Amino acid sequence: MAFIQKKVVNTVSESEYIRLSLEGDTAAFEKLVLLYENKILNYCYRMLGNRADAEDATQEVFVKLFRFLESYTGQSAFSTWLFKIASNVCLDYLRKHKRLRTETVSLHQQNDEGDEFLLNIKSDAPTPYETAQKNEAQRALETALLNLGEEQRLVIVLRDVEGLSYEEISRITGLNEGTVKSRINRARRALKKLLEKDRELFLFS
Amino acid sequence: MKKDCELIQNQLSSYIDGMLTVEESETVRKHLAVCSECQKEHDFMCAIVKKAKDLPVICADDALHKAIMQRVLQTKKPVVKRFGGRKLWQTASALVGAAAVLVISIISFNSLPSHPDLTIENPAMVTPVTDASANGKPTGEVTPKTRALPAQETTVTAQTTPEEPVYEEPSSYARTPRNIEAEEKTLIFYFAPDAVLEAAEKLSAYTKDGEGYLIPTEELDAVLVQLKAQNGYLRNEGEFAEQTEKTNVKLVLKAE
Repeated sequence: MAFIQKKVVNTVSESEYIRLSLEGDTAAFEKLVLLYENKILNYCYRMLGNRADAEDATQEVFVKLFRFLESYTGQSAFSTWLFKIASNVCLDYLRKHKRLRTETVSLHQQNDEGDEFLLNIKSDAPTPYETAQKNEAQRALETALLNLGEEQRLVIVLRDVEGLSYEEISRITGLNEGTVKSRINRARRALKKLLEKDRELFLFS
Repeated sequence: MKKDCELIQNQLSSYIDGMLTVEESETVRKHLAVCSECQKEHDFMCAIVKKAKDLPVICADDALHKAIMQRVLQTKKPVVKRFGGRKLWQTASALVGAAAVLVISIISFNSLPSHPDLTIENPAMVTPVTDASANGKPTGEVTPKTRALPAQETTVTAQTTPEEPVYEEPSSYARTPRNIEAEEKTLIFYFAPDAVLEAAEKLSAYTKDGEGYLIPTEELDAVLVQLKAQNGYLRNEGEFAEQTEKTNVKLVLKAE
């Protein structure tokens, strides 16, 4: 399903969808899902390290959204609130599973004609397209991200991957801006350390 | 110089994000102009930040979207009594009444009070999402056969003591301590008549309670998969109870 990610969500219709959803309109709720499923999936993907877990977590997020929609007060932006739910789902997941499942599995196969090809196990490995596209620096960064502590990874993903402001991150995490600032600083310094051996890749790619 | 560098490098992150004061920024800028070491660190950090921004984005496919909606529509929302009379839990999919159908009745022991006089003030209690066209059904439906067949019910007794589940809800929910009352939610499983006994056999290991069998939540998914995979399974309707900790689910089998 091709999706064009709009940077600016039409906030008028978004609040309409919320209002209708609260009245029991599932079609309206589905519209909300459509508006945010990519963003949430991507966020979970960066937090959890593999698509399968990200998809599970994404479902969990929207189920929680559905159950607790009444709790949304409108004090913060809807996306902020949704990210808060997603953050909690991801952190819970990480604490429960302790071990991340990363996409590293691919098997060498041979077909009937004797051609060798790489069989990527669907749920856990990147598609050939993704593999071709990703360059080394990207992969190094993705790995480094997953080697950060979960609290640090969270703020980095929100800041550098999702592009959210310090203020938004502060609202999502419930931390004050000073703490957000220092946490992002520490996370980035940790990333630098993890990527030290790949320094050249970053500076010249 | 070394000490300065350490201080400066500790500010690079905030500097890059424009989160320093004008004076602090200026100090960093001046230092970077004369210190190649720190300049390198600055450039490296910038490169990492940029790379993170440019990480590929993955997109939800149709299958995921459908899975999301299916789970959402299966989610139970508590019902509040507004106009008098006890309103039963409603399902997101259409309920079809039939004289002799295979019924999986789910009784969930959860922390939601089933007191009929809930008021709207409690934000936890709202009208459920009901949509007759909602897609809560699995794929691969088979048109049910004649409904004239009598129901073959397995009636049982024995009530097990429900456990008290612990619910962690957002603080806007005011959960009062409650007596656990079973809320009956009906999940209808349609089986061909000759398949009912086989289905019942699958559940024979479980404790019986009234009309149905008590299935622990953690085994529920496996049981339902088994039932759905069985020959003679036709379709199901209704929805699953919200999976909370320590919830038991009651299945009742009937034949169509």
